[in-house]
Amino acid sequence: MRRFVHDNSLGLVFGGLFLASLLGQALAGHANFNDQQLADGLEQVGLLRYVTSSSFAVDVVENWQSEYLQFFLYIFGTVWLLQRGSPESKDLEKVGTETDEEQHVGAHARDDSPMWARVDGWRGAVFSRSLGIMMGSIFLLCWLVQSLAGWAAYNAEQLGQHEDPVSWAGYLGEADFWDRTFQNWQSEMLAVGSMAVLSIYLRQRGSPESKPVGAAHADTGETG
Amino acid sequence: MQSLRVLFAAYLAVIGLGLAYFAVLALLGR
Repeated sequence: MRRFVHDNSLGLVFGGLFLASLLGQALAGHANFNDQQLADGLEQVGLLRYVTSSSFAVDVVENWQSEYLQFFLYIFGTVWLLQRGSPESKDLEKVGTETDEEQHVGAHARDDSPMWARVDGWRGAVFSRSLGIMMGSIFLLCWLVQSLAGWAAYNAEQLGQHEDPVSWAGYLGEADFWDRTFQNWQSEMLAVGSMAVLSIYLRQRGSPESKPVGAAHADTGETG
Repeated sequence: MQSLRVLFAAYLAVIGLGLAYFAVLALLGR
């Protein structure tokens, strides 16, 4: 058990922090929702009603989609895009998908390489892109669910104000959908750019996200 | 290796079940 915790502390701690933060969002979101209900002269709702509402759903999922978009773009983008001096970038001469030898695939697979790295054809092609495909797929699903939950929450608000509900397609043209979308996207893009650029001159001793403390500022793709 | 598979599956399950839950809430118009 101690071994399991030691070997998996990154996944376990962030999984725990996610659940604690989601609980915090549920409690704070519930209080905020009821403040708005009070201001609008509408009845208060219980916590259970709130966490089973589209209002809670859209607030959660709009953040999920932007995080997965961030990682999807980062994973695919860093195949081709470079940043001199950044540990987030690969070596400047390695741009692109690299050789089979460098990637240990097909005839260059090692004894412990995964099965799908050894084979050519569609399995090899899919496995070679599986991380990006998964992140991109989760992003699209989250964005779809954001649109559905946002639509339901938007219409609930419209009805509360005695205004006409809109269709799903109509909601996709509403400012509410794009405001929620872009307010999350902008922060992700800033964070990714910051990580790539600030890590040129700054260090975090012991972190694989940083270069070794003594690495030169111009060193690219080195992690410590 | 078994524990890695469990952690991997747990993460995918949280994402998948979470998305399914929120999609159902939305489609029910809650």
